Amino acid sequence: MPSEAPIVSCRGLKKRYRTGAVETVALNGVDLDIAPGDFATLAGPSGSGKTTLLNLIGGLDTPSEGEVVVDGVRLGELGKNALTDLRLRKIGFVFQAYNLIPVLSAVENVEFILQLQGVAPAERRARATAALKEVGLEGMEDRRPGFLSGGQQQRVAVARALVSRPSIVLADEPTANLDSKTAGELIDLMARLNAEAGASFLISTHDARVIARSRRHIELTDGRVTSDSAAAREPA
Amino acid sequence: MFLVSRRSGLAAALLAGALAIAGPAAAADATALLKAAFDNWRGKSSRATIEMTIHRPAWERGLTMQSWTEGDDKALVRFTAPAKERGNATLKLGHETWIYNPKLNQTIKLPASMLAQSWLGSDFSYNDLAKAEDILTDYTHRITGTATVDGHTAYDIEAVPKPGAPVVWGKQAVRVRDDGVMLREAFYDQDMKLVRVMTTEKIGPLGGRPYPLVLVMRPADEPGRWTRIETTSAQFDVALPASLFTRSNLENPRG
Amino acid sequence: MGGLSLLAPMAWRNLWRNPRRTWITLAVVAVGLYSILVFAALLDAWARSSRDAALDVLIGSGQVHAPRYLDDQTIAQRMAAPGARLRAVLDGPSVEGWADRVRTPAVIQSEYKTLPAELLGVRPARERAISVVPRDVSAGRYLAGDADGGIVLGAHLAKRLKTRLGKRVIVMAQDATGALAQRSFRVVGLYSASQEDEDRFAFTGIEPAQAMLGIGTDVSEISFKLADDAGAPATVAALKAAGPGLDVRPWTALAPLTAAMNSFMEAFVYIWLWIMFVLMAIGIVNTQLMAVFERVREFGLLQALGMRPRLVLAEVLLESALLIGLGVLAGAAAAVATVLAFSGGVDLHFLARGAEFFGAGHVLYPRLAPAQFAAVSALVWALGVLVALWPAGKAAGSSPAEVMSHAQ
Repeated sequence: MPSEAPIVSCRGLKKRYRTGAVETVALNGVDLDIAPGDFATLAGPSGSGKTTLLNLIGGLDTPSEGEVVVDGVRLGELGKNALTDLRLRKIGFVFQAYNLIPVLSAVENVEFILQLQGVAPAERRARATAALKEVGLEGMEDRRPGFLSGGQQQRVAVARALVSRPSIVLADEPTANLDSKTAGELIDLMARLNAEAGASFLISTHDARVIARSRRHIELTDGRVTSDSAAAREPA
Repeated sequence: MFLVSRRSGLAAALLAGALAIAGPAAAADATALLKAAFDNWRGKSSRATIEMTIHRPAWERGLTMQSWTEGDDKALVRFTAPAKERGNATLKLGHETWIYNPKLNQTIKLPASMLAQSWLGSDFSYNDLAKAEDILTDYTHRITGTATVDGHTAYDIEAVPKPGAPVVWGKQAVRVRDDGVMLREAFYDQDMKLVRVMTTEKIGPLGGRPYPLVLVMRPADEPGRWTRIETTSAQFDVALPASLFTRSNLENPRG
Repeated sequence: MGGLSLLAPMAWRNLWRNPRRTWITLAVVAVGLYSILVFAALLDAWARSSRDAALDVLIGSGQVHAPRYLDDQTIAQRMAAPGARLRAVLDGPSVEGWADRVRTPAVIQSEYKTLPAELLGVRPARERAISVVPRDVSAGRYLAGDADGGIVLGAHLAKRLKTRLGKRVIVMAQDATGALAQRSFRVVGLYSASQEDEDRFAFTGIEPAQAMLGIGTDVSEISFKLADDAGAPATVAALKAAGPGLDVRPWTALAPLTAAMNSFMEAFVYIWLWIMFVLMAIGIVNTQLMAVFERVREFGLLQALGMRPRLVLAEVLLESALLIGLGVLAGAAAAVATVLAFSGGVDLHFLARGAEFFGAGHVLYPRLAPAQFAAVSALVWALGVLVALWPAGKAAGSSPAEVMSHAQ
């Protein structure tokens, strides 16, 4: 998939937080494109703006300046509901923790997205079950999050993130709470699904092994992109 | 009972002494005996001074009053002592009774609801005043026995209410001396249980005739409680001014 | 909207994440509603009892009098026996029963006591249709006919007079000329009612009373009982038209205290409802707010995943609705059980005659008023859900960004 239109496009993104009289600059002019099928990692020291960037791309927060375009849609032009719907249809999320709805079973957590999309119950269940099978959780469909290990929970999250066939999966430190073996397996899983499903991945992480498996690596320092392997590999 | 009308009666009783003695000898008719006694007691008029003693287990008090009567339907009683009761007066004209209270400076016509109230705290009620002559009109009478008392013949008369008569008692038992002095009057309830009894405890000459000087009324079921009435002086068949038995005189006594 | 097929189980399961808190809220709602409903049923029984106690003795649904009778309730203010026009209305379909009476203040005398009372000359057959006295005769018999010269006394009055069945009492009253009339009556029956009424009313046949008072066939009042209380204004108007110059009044005007008590009771139920509801609301808001604050991240997650804020609000409201609904069901069920258990009567004899101070009878009969129960339950439920909007709004307002920024 060579140079198609980017799935995500960030231009001149700035984000400032004001706490009392103190203004913190979280992002200070980020230009970034994510191409369809990208499997990119995002790294940087604490406070470099990784989470802020993911929030802005995911439409969870609004930029102070600049613009985010997801799959051709300018997020700045969307209302709250439209933004929510965009997240539902185009973006998959894998968070570091608090990923799953605690009162729903594994399969219900996955189904939840489909229900919000209005998918009929029978199809919903079938797709959710298939998605869980895909992440290796066959037979654990009816377990509540409390009865799943950390790795299993993240797999459910991955299954949920992909079940709606999003344009991009945003993962915020997905392996931070996992041991290295489990973390490795999760990254393998995401890499495989990236290859099979074709969804782009943008993963923020500190984990060197995760970075090692990515096909594109972006470094963020002080709210700016200081290094992007894609720029080196694929000159414009 | 007969508070008001009785003291005048004795004059007549003695006046008619010969008649009275002749009466029973002629016929021991119960009704006639009672009527004679009442007729004898009702002098044309009377003026008397009476002392009343109200006795209770815990206390006793005395009252003094003046009374005037004329015929059988006019009576005036005015209290003279103690100071607390002075001026309280009762006027009876026919079937109507008025009472005057000097402290309130008010005269009221006795309402039916007050009939049962005690007359000045004694064992007599206003009702006893108002219905004094009932025994003659609302009862049938019969002699149940005779006895000799102080040299006189005394007749025991049982008085039973006539059917439908507005009388609460089951019967009255009266003892009358042949000279017209009533010795005893007992009131029975409808179960023929004694409710109260009035006895004559002292007979003496007054105005030159035998007179029941001391009467005592005793409720049957409350020992230690009685009311004693003593006539200390009396004049009979005196001329009384017509203005005496009026409401204005009740409130503003003249003489 | 995705429908409720996941939302409902989600809400239901969320309820039991903190069972202790849920049970407390349930208990608050259930106990609150229970107290409202049972209290309402008892008050209603009390109001009915006091109303019936007052109305069923003599008042009926309304009365007809001579114009000045109510200011001067003596034989002087009497009227002619009801004529054809008045009878036409009284015998009409809207009137269940009626009775004309002679009524005058009197004094009753026994061997031992003389007590004030009201003498009523009645027509026994007519009284049976409108008054409870004929059937509340506790000793002896009620009057046999209009000419019955016996007297039926209140049991308590008889006791105070120290008289009893078969004995004579003397009744004294002012006759038509203002003179004192007196007559001997034999006690043929004793009735039981409130102590106040027992002491107050003495009944004899209307004819002996008319003869004693010298009033010919005149009467003091006509009491009527309506088939349906709602028809009162129409019947009163019809009677006024049929009896020009007569004073026709419904019971609310004749017994204003009873009427006031009646409406006060109703108002009190609602005052109680609001007090209890405020307490419930505090409990609901408190627990639900706590629940929401604990789950801020979760609500952020739901929104991040694509759940619209309004749907989040719906979910939290659904939780509250289920929770309060359960409490309402429990409270209402317990209240229904309680009322049914006591429908045989709550005996107030242990209060002795103190209960009469409030004008009620000795036994209260709580009654299930399904419409009222349902309405109050629904109201409490709806108000509870309304109050729960606040915590639900908080939940819907949580920012999806919270999920990420709070991570770790």
